[in-house]
Amino acid sequence: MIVTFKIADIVFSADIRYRYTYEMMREYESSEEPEFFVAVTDEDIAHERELSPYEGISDPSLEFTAVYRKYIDVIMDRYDAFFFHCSSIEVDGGAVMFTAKSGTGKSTHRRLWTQRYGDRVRIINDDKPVIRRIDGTFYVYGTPWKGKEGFGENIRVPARALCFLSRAEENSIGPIDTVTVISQLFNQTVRPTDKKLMSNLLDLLDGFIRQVDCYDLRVNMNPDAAEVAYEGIKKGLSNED
Amino acid sequence: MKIKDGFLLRRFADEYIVVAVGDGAEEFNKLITLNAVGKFIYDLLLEGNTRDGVVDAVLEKYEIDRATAERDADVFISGLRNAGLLDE
Repeated sequence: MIVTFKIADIVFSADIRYRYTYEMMREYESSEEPEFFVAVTDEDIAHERELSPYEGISDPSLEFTAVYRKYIDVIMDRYDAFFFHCSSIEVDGGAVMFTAKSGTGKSTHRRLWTQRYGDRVRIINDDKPVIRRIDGTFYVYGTPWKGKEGFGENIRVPARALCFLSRAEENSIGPIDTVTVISQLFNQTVRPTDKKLMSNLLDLLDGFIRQVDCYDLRVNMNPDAAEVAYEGIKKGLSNED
Repeated sequence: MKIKDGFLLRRFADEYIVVAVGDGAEEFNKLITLNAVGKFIYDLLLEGNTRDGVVDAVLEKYEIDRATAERDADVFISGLRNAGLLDE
């Protein structure tokens, strides 16, 4: 079936065959005129199976990921947009992103914020938000691809803080050097091989880290980790550009 | 000695970085950061300069002694060689 979605304020149609994919994406269904079309083929699903680190993933789940990959490929080419693997929340009107190697505990840390700050925190996306530059401002957008726990909303929030998360005995937050920022960002996005696309992506990432405040955030999993982090970044959250 | 095709040098914040593009991008799955001297030498190698040509240019630009210039050039060039960026 062909369904139209609006994700990151970009309207597109997708030819999907599984109910699962539709159910996962229906919150983003749209009646507006699509700007492009994606179709998932048997080859795309086979490709997803090869890329998946897990055995025995079902076709519907692979299709859902394949739609994501196709959508990202188009929006990187045609819009000032990129994918950034992180957990992202809205606090005091600004987006705070937590990124780290898999298994560090991004979602676990994010949960400490929801517990500590309750309704002051909205989860934008726990896994695969889209970042877009619109009129010179970078926004973090919720997407249907929300990670294992499925937290996230269909909202956009201006990007303010980017925390490079690692585990430590004691909680601390401080500045981070540019080389680490660049290489970690690079590891947590989809890297195009095409020269023009790569060049566009580097432009975007460069603008992105000029807009956001970057932090080296070291945390344990105790409740005060969120408070240490928030105290360290709060001054930059509601700044106008 | 020349930098292979398929690498892109870009300024990024206050650093220079080199990434692979095109056919080599899947194999060369990393990013190299360069300081200002590294960027200067990289540009010389893009133009196909020899090791001695690089040393001379570094000497002229940075007004350092020859031993230091040679050491800096050799360290940088062997770094690029080990990373697989050089056609020799």
